[in-house]
Order: sequence, then structure tokens, then C-alpha cells
Amino acid sequence: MSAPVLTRKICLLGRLAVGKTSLVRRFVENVFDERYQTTVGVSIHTKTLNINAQTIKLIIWDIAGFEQVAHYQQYLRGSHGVLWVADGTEPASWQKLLAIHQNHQSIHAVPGVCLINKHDLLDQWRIRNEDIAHLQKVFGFVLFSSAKTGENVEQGFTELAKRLLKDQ
Amino acid sequence: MNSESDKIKQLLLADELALLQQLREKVLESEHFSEAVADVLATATQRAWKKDPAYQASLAKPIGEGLKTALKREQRSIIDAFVPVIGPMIRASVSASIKKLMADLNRILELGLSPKAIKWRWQSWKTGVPFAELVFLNTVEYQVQHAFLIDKDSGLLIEYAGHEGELARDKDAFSAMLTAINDFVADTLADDTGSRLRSAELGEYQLWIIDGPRAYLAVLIKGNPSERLRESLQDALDKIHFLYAEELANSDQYGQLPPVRLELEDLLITKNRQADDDDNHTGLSRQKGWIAALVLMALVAWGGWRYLQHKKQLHNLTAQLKHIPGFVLQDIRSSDDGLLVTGLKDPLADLSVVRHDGVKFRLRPYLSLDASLVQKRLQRLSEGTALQARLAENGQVTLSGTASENTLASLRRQLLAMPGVNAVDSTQVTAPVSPWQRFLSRNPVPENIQATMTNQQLTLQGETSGTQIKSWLAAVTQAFPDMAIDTRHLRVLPDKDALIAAINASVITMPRGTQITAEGKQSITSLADKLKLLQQQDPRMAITLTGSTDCTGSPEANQKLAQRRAEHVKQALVQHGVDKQRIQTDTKPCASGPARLDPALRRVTTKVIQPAEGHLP
Repeated sequence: MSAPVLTRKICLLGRLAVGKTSLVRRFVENVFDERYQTTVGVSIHTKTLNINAQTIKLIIWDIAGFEQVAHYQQYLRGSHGVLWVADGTEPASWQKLLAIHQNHQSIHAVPGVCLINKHDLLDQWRIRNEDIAHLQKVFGFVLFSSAKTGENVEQGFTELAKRLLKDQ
Repeated sequence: MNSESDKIKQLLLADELALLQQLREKVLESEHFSEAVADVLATATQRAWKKDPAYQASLAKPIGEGLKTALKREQRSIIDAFVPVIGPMIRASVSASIKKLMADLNRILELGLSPKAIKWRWQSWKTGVPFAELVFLNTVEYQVQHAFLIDKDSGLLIEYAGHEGELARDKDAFSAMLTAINDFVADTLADDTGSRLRSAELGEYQLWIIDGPRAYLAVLIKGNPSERLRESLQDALDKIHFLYAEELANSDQYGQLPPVRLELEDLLITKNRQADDDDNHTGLSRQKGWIAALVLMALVAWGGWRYLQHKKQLHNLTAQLKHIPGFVLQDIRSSDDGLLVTGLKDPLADLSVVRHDGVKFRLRPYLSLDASLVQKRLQRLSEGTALQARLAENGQVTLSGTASENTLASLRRQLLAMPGVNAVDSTQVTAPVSPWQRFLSRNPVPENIQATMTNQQLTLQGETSGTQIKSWLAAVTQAFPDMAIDTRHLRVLPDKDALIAAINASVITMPRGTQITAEGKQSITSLADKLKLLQQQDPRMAITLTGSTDCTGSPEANQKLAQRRAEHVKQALVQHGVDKQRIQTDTKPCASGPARLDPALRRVTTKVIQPAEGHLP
């Protein structure tokens, strides 16, 4: 008998315009749109994966980017995992992630994966090796990604799903 | 000292010490202690359950673990034990579905062709609103069509009941989004009392949200529900929290909680509108009247349909029977258990095409002269022979193929006795060829030989060469290994080449002048025989006789002697019956050499002249 389907809630956290919605669309629908559209509130997507004979359905909460207001907190309730998204061309994006992580102790127990997005824009790439090492230390797993080329998008989500299964 | 104090203890506390000893035995001896605990276990458990919630919680885990272990080890027994419990639940679920289906059917039947239904159909036709929609609007107050039980924190769907596929294709996304909206509304609009979204409108649906401590209930309702529905939904949610608190706390079980799903299915209720006041006093009787009329109409329609089917079957069967060769339909009528067909049937008529349930036959045999059946009889009659029989329209049978005279005569007699046959044409029939004749057509008898076959014995007469007759006899022996061959009257002649060689080797010596020795005379006789044989085989053959001499004597004398020797042998051959026209003479006297006697050169030699090289015609 096959194992029952597990449903798991994951949230995408990141500053405005780091490419959260593009990553989700690339992962779920395999499309990329150059036009930027701001997410209002939250948008929900679902995707089913099969990992080591276990079917897992991810309920992906694509939370709107933030500047000051910590509106994301309400959406994090009951989340099983977090996909931290930074922009490799924008230092403020990973500094913000580190600040959120530091300020919210409850989130430390939740499995997470950090994607440093926009890796296709190498001419504007500004993240340094020591920044990456620090992110690695804080979030445990870091990948360069590009929603535009699809680089490491599926791998990032799949890695998070694997961590959710380990965390069962 | 000790003994005194013991005595005092014994005097003062004898009863207490005895009781203490009893208690000690009860507590310290496990068997006694078990019995004591067993006496109060049931009562103690009941009291602890009522008094102490912590006791209830503490039992949950070991009982759960115990059940898991039992499920692994005693699966079959547990399934058997649960069947009586789960079976009724499943039956109840199926029964609820059937009841809903019956309710829908009843509603449609009740409406049937009533004036109200006709009015709604008219409205539907005029407005384009589907008839089913109008029926729903006019007869149903509300209907709960979908029920979602959703984790309040994560927004994950715990269980769902409803009409799959009609709405909310991705129920998980719907649950999450509804939770997000609820959170958003609560966070941005509500006051500090924790108020949350209670309802929303989605087209013709109303979305109601019933809040609970761990999970909330979202139901989609079509129609106009009353607040009493909210109360019953709230009760149902409370019941779910009470019964399945542990399951609701474990997100791994979400989507796999059939008992919770059954609870949700109980919420999918339909509340019908009360009958209109106008219809109150007469509605029921009218409905009954309509139902009776409908049933009557259905019966009449069914009867008519059956009658038409019967007529159609009768018509088809009659048409089929009339086209079967060798069958004469006399009557066809309905009987108790189907149709009875009466008729005449030729033994060769094939009724299998109409043999099916419900048709019985009463048949009498007769002989049909239908051309196809006569042809069938012809084929049966000619089976086993190499003849084909073909019937023409005028009743003449044409035979073709091979047959012996006896076979043909017998067949003709039988054919002419057959009804439907007027004449027999056998001009196309040929006599069979015997194997011996077939052999001779491929291997003709050699020239000058007469072969006669009588009673499997072959008699050969005549003269022929050895080569020809040997190869022919080999072919005969191969084709007919058991045949007896009489060759007493067969004369086998030497071959032409052998004769020519023998003739060319012939030498007639003449030791003195033209005198022939006895040996030479035998040689001439033998030569004459060979020449005659050769000319029998080929009359164009001729020979040259060459006379020779040794070198004694003058050349002129030798020339003359050589000529005389050749002529002498020619005369002798002619005397033996050789045609003199086929004999030439020549000389080969000694031209030069030592003048000494040489008997070997005093001779006549012979040489055959082949037609191509010869001078004679």
C-alpha cells in the first residue's frame, strides 16, 4: 500500500522584488515573466512532489515582500518550513533576512532553505563570500538560484521538502 | 529487655499487630496484592477518569501505542472486530447518498408535468435560466454543498466533504487562501476581541465560517440558510473537536480521517421549501393524482411500445423465413411462450439464421426443387469423384472432369433419377490416364521396339542399340519397381561407335598373293556382319578397303597386287550380303624400303567412311 499524501505549508520570505513570486511560478508552472508584479498580501500555490516513495503536497504561501511592517508574521503561523529568498545584487535583501531571523526565535525551529536569487545577473552580483558563509551558518543550506533560467529552483524547493520529511 | 517490651507490645497491640501482618502480606506478596488491586481497579479507574483530566491525557499515549502494536501483530483479528463497527458507518454513508438521489428523483417526479413545472419550463425557455436551477430556486430553501474542515494555524485542509469537481478544484489552495484572507481580515480590520470573518458571498453561494479552537469549518451553501443552521454547524464542529482532538493536533493524519469525513458528510443537508399556501389543502391529492396519471401513461406507453416491438419482430421474422431456400412458410402466430412457426422444410434448408429464443417451429419435410438446393445435392453426389456437376436453368447438368466409363455411367443414372434434373451432358468428361500412359508420354519407347503391357507385364520386341534401351529400361524400373519385364524377343545391338572401332580394327592377311587364310575368311564373315549392322543403324555408312604389299617385287607389280587384294576382299564381302555401292577400294603398296619378306604388310585393312567425310552419297 502506498504511503498517504502528506500536506505541508511552506512560506517564502524576502524583501520586495527579490523574485519570490517568480521562483514560485517557475517551480509550479515552469514559466518566467520579465514584468514585475507586486504581490498583495499573499498568494497560494500547490505542488506535489515524490521524495523517496513519499508523496508530499506543498502548500506554498508566497507572502508579499516587506519593508518595515512585519505583516508576514500572521501568515507564518503553522508553517512547516520557510524558503528564505535574497537578491544577490541587493545587500539589503540578505541583511533583512538575517534581521528577521534574529528577531524571531520561534522561527529557528522551522526547517529552512535560503535561495540567493537573480544569479543570471552576474555583472551586478554583489554578495561576498563572507556574506554567503554567514547565511550558510544561519540558514543551514544556501543555493544560488535564478527564476529566469530556472537554475536551482526545483532543487531549492525539493531540498526544503526533504528537510520537512526529516523533521517529521 | 527486648522480650519484655515484646510482651508488653503483644498485650497492648495484639489486634493491630495482626492486622499489620495481614496488610504486609497483602502488599508484599504479589499474588495477594494483585487480587486486592483487581478488586478496586474498575472503580478506581472510573473515579480517576472523572476527577483528573491529567489521568485521561496520560492514558491516551499508552492506549494509542498499544493499539498500534496490536494493529501490527493482530491485524486480521482487529479487522474482524472493526467490521461490525465500520460496516454500518459505510452503509450509513451509502444510504445517505442514495437518500439524496431519491430525494432529487422524487422532486423531479413530483413535478412531472404539473402546471407548476410547465410554468417553470416556460420561464426557463423565456429567460434562458436552466430548468434545474428554477426548480432548485422554487423548491429548495438551502443546500449545504461543500464542507471544509481547516487547520486554523497552518490553513491545511483536514478533511472535506462535498460534491467533488463542482467547485474548489484545488481544495488545499482554497483552504490556505481562505485562511490567509481570514488572517488578513482579522489582522487589519478586527478589533482586539479576536473577531474573525463569519461569512462571505460567492455568486449564488454563501460561504460561512464557523470558528473552533483548533480548526474552523467553512461551508458553501446554495440558497438562503437560517441562523439555526449556524447553530447546528457550530454544534457539529464542537463535536468534532471533542471526539477527534488528538487527530486534529497531528497534521500527518490530515486527509486520512474517514470518521471526520463522515461527520462532515452529515452536514451536507438540503432544506426543502414548505409547500405554497395555495397548494396546502389540495396539494397532496393533486400530487397523487398526477403520479397516478403519470404511472398510467407510462403503462400505456410501455404496452404500446411492447406491441410495436412484437409487430416488428413478427414482420422481420416473416421476411427472413420467406427468403430461406427450401422452406415454405405456412403459418406464424403468437403462442404462450413466443412465436410458433409452421411450415415445410427441405432437409437441406438452413433455419439457423432465425433460430433464437422465443421462436418455435412445427415442421413437415418436403423436397424442394430450388436450384441452390438441387446444386447442393449434385455436389454431395459427385463428392469423392473427379467430376464437377453444374446445373443450368433448364435442368440440364453439365459434367466436367475425368471419370472411368463405369463411374460415369453410374453417376448419369443417379443424376437422371434426381428431381430437378432433366438431362446430363458428359461430353466434357475425359477418361482417366493410366500411370503407364503418363510414363510413355514422357519416356517414348525407343525406335524399332514394340512394348506391350498386359497384366502388369511388359513385353519388349525388336532390335535397338544397348545405350538407348538401357536408359529407357532404367526409367521403367524406377517408375514401376514391381513390374515384370519380358526381354526374350528383344535384340540388343552393339553401339555405332563400337561397331566403327571394330570395323576399323579389322585386318585380313594374305600371306601369298590374294590367297585368304581360314582365319582371314572368319575375319571377312565377322566384318560383313558388322558392316550390315552399321548400315542398319545408319544406311549412309560406307568403308574403304586398302590393299598393302611388302617391298619385295617391283613397285608396279606391288601396286597391282595391292589392288587385287582389296578387290578380292570386296568380292568376298559382297558375297556375304554387303552392298557393293558402300565399299571403296584403295592401295598402299610398298613405296620404298628393304626388299625383304614381310608377311605383316601383305594384307587388307578397313576404314569406315563417316557420312560427313565420305565421298559416297
